[in-house]
Amino acid sequence: MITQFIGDVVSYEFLRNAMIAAILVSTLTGVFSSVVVLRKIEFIGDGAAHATFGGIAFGLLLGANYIVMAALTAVVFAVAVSYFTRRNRLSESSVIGMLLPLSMSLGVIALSFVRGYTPDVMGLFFGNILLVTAADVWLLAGANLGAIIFFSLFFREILYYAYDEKMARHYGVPVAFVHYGTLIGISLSVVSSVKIAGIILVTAFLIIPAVSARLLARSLRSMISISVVLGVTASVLGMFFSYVLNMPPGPVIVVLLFVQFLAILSVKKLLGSKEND
Amino acid sequence: MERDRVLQVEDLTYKIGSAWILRGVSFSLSRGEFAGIIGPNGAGKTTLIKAIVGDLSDYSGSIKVTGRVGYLPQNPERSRDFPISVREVVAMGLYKENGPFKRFSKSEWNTVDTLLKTTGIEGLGRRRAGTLSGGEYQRLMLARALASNPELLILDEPEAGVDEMGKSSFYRLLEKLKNEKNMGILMVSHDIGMVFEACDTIMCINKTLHCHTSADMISPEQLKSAFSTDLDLFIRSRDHFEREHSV
Repeated sequence: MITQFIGDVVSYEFLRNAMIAAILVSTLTGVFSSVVVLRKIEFIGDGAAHATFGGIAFGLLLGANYIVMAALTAVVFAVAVSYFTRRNRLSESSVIGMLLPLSMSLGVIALSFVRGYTPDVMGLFFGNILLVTAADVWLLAGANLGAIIFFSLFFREILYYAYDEKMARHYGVPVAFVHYGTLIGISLSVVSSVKIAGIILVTAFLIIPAVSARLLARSLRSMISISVVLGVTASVLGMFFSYVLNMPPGPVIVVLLFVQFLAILSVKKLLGSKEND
Repeated sequence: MERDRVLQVEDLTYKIGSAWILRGVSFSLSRGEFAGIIGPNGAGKTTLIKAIVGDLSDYSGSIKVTGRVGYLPQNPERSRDFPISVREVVAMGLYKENGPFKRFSKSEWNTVDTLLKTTGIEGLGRRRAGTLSGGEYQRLMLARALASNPELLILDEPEAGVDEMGKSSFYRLLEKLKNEKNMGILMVSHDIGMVFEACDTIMCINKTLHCHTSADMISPEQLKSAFSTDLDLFIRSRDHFEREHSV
C-alpha cells in the first residue's frame, strides 16, 4: 500500500503537487503558529482566513487575480483589527466579531453578482488539495522563504514581542514593526494555504501544532521546530490515509493534528502524574 | 549634591478628563538614596512611575532623569509555560545597548550570568522563566532591570506575590545594591512597614505629594493626611512605630 502510494505520488503531478503543498503549508503555518499561540492572537488568524472569502469573491466579480485579492483582504483585515484595537480602545474580539461577518457578507453579495462560472464554495471553505497547481506550490515556497528570512533576521525581536510586548517596547524593541510584520506574515500564510486547507481548516494549521509543541518546548526555537515536525508528519500521514481510505485530505490532516495534540497531552499528563507519585 | 541628582520632577500634573490623577508633584532623588512611595489605591503612584519611565507623555510639568533607568514593573508578564529561559529574559534588559537586529555577544551573555549571581539566582539561567518561584521571579525581574547598569532603579510594587521571608531578603538585596552601585532607588509599595524599614526617605502620595521626608521624621498624622484613614494598624507591629511614638 505504501509502495503504491509513493509510486503514485512520484508518477502523478497532481498528487506530487498536493504532497509538496501540504508539507509547505505545514512548515509555513508551523513557523507562524508559535507566535500566534504565544501572543494569543488566534482569533486574528481565524478572522483573516474568513476575510479572504470577501477578497476571493470580489476577485471573481472584478475578474482580478483572486489570490492577490484574497491576500490584500487578509492583510487589510489583520492591520485594521490591530489599528482599531490599539487606537480606539475597542476589544480585539469585538472588532473581529464585526469585521469577520462583514467580510463574509460582502463576499456572498459579490458572489451573487458573478455571472457564469463560480467556484465551489465548499472547496473554498474546506480546501481542495488535489486541485493544487505548480504555481500554487511556487507561491507556497516563496511564502516559506519569506517566513524563514523574517524569523532569521528578527528572531530575538519576535521572542521579546511575544513574551512581554509592553516591556519589549520599554527596552527599545521595534514592537510595532514586529507586530505588523507578524500580522502580514500570518495573513499571507493563510492566503497561500487556503487552497490546501480551506478558509475554515487553515485556522487548525495555525493553532494546533503550536499548542501541541508548547507542551514540549523549552525555547521558542524548539517550539517552532516541533510545530513544523508535527505539521509535516500530520500532512504526510493525512495524505496517505486520505489516499488509502478515499477521504478528503484537508480534514484528515486536521483530525491527525488533533490526535497528535491529544497524544502529547496524555503522555505529558501520565509522565507528570508519575513524577508526582 | 546637584551633580548626584538622578531624578528631578517639577510640578508634575496629569488629568484624565476632569479627574486629577496627579497634581503639582515635585521632588528629586539623588544617587545612594532609597525613596519609598506610599499612598492608597488610586493615589496616582503607578501613574507617577509610568511618567518617569516614559510610558506616559501627555502630562504637564517636567521630569529630568540623569543617566540610565532600570525598571521593575508592577505585575510583570508571567506565563508558566512560555518557552523563554531565565538568561533570555535578563538579556532583554541589554537590548537597548546592543541595538536592534543583532545577536548578543559573548561578553553580554557573561554580563547576564554576573547579574544572575548578583541577584542570587545563579544556576537557574537555563530554567524556563515561568517555572521560577515568586521570589526567584522577582529577582529575575530585578536582574533584567539592572542589566543596563542604571543610575536610577525604579520598582513598582515589587513585593506582589512574594512571601514575608522573600520580601525581607529582597529588600536586603536592594540595600546592598544601593550601597555597592551607588544607585538612586525609587520604589512604590503597599507594604508600609517594609518601606519604613528599608527606605531612607518616604513620599506619601494621594494625587498630590503630602509628605516627603526622612523615614525617621515622618509622623502618623502625615500618613493619615495622605491616606485619609488611620494607619496605626498597618505599622503597629513594626519597630518603626515604636520609634515614632517615642519621639
